[in-house]
Amino acid sequence: MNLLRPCGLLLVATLARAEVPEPDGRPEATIQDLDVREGGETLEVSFRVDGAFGLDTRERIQSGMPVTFSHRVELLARRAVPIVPSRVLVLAVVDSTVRYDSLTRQYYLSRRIRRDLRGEDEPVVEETSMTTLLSSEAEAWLASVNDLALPAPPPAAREHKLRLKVRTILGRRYHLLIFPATDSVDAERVLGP
Amino acid sequence: MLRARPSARWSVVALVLLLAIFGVYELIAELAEVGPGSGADRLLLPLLSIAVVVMALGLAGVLIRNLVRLIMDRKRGILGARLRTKLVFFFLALVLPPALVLFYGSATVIRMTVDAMLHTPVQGLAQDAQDIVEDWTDFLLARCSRQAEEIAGVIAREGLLRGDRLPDLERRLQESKDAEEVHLIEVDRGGVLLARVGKAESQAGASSGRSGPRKASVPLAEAAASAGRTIARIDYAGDGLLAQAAAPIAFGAVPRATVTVGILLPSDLASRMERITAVGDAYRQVRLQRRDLIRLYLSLIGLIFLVTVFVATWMGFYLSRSITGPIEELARATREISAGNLGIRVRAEVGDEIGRLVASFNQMAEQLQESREAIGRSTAELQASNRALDERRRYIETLVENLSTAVISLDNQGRVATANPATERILGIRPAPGEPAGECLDRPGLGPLRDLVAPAALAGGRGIRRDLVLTRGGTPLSVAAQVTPLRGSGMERMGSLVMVEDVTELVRGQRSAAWREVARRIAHEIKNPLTPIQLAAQRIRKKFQEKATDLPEVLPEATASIEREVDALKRMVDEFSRFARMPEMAAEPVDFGEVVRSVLALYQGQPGIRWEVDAASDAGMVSVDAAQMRRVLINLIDNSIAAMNGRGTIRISAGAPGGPGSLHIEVADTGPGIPPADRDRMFAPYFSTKRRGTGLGLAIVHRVVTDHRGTIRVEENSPQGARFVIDIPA
Repeated sequence: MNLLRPCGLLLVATLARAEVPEPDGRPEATIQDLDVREGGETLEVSFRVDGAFGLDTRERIQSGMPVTFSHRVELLARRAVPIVPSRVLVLAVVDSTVRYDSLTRQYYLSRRIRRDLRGEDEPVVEETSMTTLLSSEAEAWLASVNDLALPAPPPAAREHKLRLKVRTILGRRYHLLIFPATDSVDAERVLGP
Repeated sequence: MLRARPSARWSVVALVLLLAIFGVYELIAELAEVGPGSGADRLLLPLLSIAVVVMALGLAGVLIRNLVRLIMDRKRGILGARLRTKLVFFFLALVLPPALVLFYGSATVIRMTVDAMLHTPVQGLAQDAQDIVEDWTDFLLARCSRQAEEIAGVIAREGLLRGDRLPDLERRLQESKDAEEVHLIEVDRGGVLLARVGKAESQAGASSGRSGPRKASVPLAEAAASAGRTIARIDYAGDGLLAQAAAPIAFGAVPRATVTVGILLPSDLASRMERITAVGDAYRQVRLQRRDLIRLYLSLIGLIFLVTVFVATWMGFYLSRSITGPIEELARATREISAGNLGIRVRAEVGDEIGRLVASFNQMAEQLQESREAIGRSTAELQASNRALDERRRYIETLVENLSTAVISLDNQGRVATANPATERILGIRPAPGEPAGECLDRPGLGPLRDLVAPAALAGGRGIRRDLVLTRGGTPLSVAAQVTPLRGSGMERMGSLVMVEDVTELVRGQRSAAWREVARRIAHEIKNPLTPIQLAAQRIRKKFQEKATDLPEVLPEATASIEREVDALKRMVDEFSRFARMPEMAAEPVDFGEVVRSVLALYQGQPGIRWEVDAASDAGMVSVDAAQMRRVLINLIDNSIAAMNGRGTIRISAGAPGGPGSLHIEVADTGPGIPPADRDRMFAPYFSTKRRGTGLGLAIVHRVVTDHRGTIRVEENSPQGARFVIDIPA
């Protein structure tokens, strides 16, 4: 009878790790062209999510529902002990939202950028918005991050191996109809030599 | 005290779970009115989904765990597991089919309902209305584009962009505005406004209260100029809508100019178009959320299904536990009781039959405990009683062992049960247990005692007492023997007790005392006549010496007195001689009634005496010495007449109550009676309460009765007098 509890936990873990199929038959999303440029006291990060739009997402946009892609960009410093999680030096979260107005046939684009330099300053929040008549421009607004400026890591942190981790949350999906899961895509790049 | 566990904890958990589900459902229903894209849609629905999944997994886990545990308990043969399994699977079988049907039916109904909701005629009308709005919008934009292109052509042909023609440009624009019924015409070149006709508030975004971005990515005129083609769009303008189109003007060098034409839609029309568009958007959103809705409802139904199954299982567990729990406690308590722990009790928390069973069990255990305590007390008392009885038995055995009287107990068959040491000391025998009494007493000199304990003699219901003369080693042995029947508590005969007391010394002492009394009496009786004789002789001598003249008269008188006293002496000596010469008993069968009648015939004519002879007296033929028995009756009757001074009633009866051959005689008078102090001495020789009695009459009676192995006793007669009772065995 004591085996029941471990078996139950194993079942839950298996379900949690189960591969979630791509919703709406869209191709597998990937992060492309992850580029980091060092410009003195800042890092400029650019990337693009390909395969992020399927029929379902486009229908959602055309129906007027706000659609948000959340891009989480982390600058990590690897610790000396391998099993210890890396230290987050810089964190930026870009929430890009598109809402279509079917009356004016315009896409309302908004973006909220929150930059967080861990352990030092308060998070910095920046918001922008605009309109466009082009759906391609709206999709690019959602799926692309261009020249996202991040504070450069302090010199002491550069002694560690740095890596940039990007995770884009495209929405949520359900596995076996009832198991909710986050629809996300990840990419990572090691900085420095 | 053992206790059956209640499952109130599970009841609380189930109640909280149901309340949580109901609360979340109500919250979702409330927030669902906010609409798609709201906080309810973005946060609560995922949270609800996660909650449903977590609860479903938890319920399924608990359900599977309980079922597995149940099956394992059943395999291990735990008490109550079979009943629990039956009840749980009974409830599952009862609930599962309708729950599955309900689940499947609900899912189907939900799908059909959602589909029907998305395909109603109203939704078709809404879609048509939106299509009209879109067509109308397209029409307006096309019209603006066409007019913008026409005006751009006019401006280009007439060269109105030249510096000297600008006043003509504004006039021409006003003419076009009035002719085309547009609300706004602007001419722009390189971002510089060259001319405008129409109201400034007709511009896009002016005082718009709607949400959304406040600026376009690129201004319309600039976009048209850079694109080199006409671009049209519609924007919010105040409370209305502004449809506008910008067309490039093919004139001169870069930067190129553009003309923008705008048509303002009034607020009421704009509002209607906006509502129609909103309905269309809502319809599309609902259609997009169809799967989410179905998923949510199916999740809720699935959760309800799981809750139902869980509740059914839990009810099975609860009911079975409410039944088997007390039974398990009863079984455990039974094992405790069988192990000797009678203080065990089972706590009953239910008032049903199980509770009554538990109460009965507790009552039984209590009674068992009380019984055991009572048995313990009884055992202790019995042990104490046994010890007392044992001590008493040993005491009695010691008494019997140390008695100077021989005590022999016989069973109903006349076999020896016990015999004390005095038996050997007095009788010279040591009877063994089980030995017939007749055999162990069949020794020379013990014949009278053997006859006394013969089966016929023992058969009598009453005790027998005899003074016997036995012989031991050639020496006479006077004993007082008594045979007493032994009876149990129910008066059943258990045997006989033979007691033999050696009274040789006592008899010898009594005889010596009797002889002393005889000597004293003889001396006294002899002395009494001697005095008158001496006085008479002295008188004669005196008269003779005095030569008295009256000697002739005195002499005959004195000699007569001497003769009379001498006759008395002679008579007394004759009595002694007769007592001493009593003949040996010669028993022969006689009719005792005839003996009684012959004696009564001697007293016929006796004045003052009333005779009462018991008419029922019929002793029949008995073996006695008739002459001596006649003498016994005569002595007793003489004694009674003398006691009554010749006046009174004498009652005589004779019978055989002890069986044929036995004799029972009673002689009663109405005299003064005999004092109790004299009754023991009544039959001793020379004891008399009469002044002139010899004291030998009752001694002779006792001697005759004893020779017949009988007994005689004197009792107080009712209402007065004395009664002599004689018993002679057969």
